Amino acid sequence: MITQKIKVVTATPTTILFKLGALFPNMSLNSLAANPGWLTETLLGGYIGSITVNAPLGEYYIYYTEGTTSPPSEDALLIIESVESLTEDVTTCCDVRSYIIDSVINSGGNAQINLLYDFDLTPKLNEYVYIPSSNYAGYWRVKNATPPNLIVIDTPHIGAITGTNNTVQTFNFDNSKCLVWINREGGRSNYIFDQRRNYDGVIGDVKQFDNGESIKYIDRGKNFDIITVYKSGISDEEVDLIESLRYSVQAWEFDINTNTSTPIVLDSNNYVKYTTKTNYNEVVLKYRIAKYKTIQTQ
Amino acid sequence: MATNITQNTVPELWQSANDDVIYTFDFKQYEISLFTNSGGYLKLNVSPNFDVLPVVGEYIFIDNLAYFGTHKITTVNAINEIIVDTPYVAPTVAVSYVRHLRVPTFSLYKGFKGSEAYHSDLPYTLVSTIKPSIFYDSNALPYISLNIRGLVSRIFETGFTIENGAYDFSMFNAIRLEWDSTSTTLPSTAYSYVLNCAISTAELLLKQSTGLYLSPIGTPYIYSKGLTILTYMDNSAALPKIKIYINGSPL
Repeated sequence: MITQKIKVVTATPTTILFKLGALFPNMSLNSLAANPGWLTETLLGGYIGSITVNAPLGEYYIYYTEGTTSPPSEDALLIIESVESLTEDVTTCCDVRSYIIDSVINSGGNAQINLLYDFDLTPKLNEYVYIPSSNYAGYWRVKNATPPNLIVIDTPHIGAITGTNNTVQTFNFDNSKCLVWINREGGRSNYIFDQRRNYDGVIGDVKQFDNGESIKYIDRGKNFDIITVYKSGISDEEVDLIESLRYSVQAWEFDINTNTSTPIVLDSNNYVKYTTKTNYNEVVLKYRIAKYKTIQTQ
Repeated sequence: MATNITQNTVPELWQSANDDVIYTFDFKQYEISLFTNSGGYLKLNVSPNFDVLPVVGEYIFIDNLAYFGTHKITTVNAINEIIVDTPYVAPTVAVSYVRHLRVPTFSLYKGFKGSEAYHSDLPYTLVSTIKPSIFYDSNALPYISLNIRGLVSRIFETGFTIENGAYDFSMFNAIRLEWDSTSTTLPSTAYSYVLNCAISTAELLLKQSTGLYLSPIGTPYIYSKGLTILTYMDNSAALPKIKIYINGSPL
């Protein structure tokens, strides 16, 4: 079966032209399956010339057959992925929560946010919060936090909050690994791994000696933490982006909550990419925290 | 201080640190006002004077057909009069020129001078001194060429910079050459920028002309949820800076 995947923008009519050639002169939509309402087929000489899609968000599988008697009944598969934007992608890396602001007061010149109810998880120092309401609209770093319902943000106090959406949003990035690296183009790139992770360790250059009927360590060598991250269900372009990490001269694990970075080492052979027939990609990346733990000798 | 060379080609405004970074210089031409016989050897008088007093043992280049080529200086009588180790013959062309093949010592500097912006971020620092060789072009005329690729690829101190709107000073630097108390100049600035990238300069310039995100994929991802870190240049003459998005919105 021929499989082709395209990405379209939702609610934007997109016409896909077909030029099938001599090998498939009689290709048309599978008559066994009803066309969805957002798909219009235009026949050319009785067979498919183009289709116009105007699809809701989602991924759709459209089958075609080569003539009415062609076995098997589904000769070609067109996967249509309808997305919000062709230039954006969605990752589910953080938990966004909104809290109602009770008051905003002056705290040493900065705005202090007092909540009506408590945070589930009080934002940490330097973490970002977002305020949608007009006079404090924007992302702000947390300068000070007092659990369970008070934070000071790094913007001047300009009075009470105005507007109708008097909330503050917090982001919990704890369940993700954000890797930042220098790309070949001389810029910085990042990717967030928010799925499965494995933690491991490695010991190098262990030296032992025979202590008379027992073995003892002279030196435990350098002990590194190893982390393996997995990301599945990603597009080819995301794969290309992550793959560029393999050629990076320097990479870091970045903790947005604390605004700290830790250098990592990625061996090129510790990268695996799996691709299914329907272009369902998964990458597995194993990296080492470059800073090693020192262990005493004996 | 006067100099006997003139700047010819200079690098692009933005250069890849891992591609050729080439400067070329021509030797100034001094018109020969007099060819004379000095004990069987050629004596030259030039007008105007040489910019730099020649030294015995240095070489000159004469483009007169009777003497076309390189000759060694054996005597320096004055700043406009020298004798070379070449037997005198009657000159065949009336007007001809001599080039003083003195090669100055070049100093490669990185960073910005005290009077320039960003001096505190990238201070003016000597990287290396260079004494290049003389090359000859297809017309057998001498010139100086320096390819400083090997030096500029090591001028960076890679660090972690994640500050929205901040220039990524660990990924680029300004470079220029100094010699004889003068320095290279580009048409628009006194220096070139070198970006610590692994793509070619041609690819870098193409990227700058088609989109100024320094990203491995054509259109960078801006994650609709989560943190996005990108490097961006406002235009081809601007410096690269960090741009951060949270949940698809710029900070």
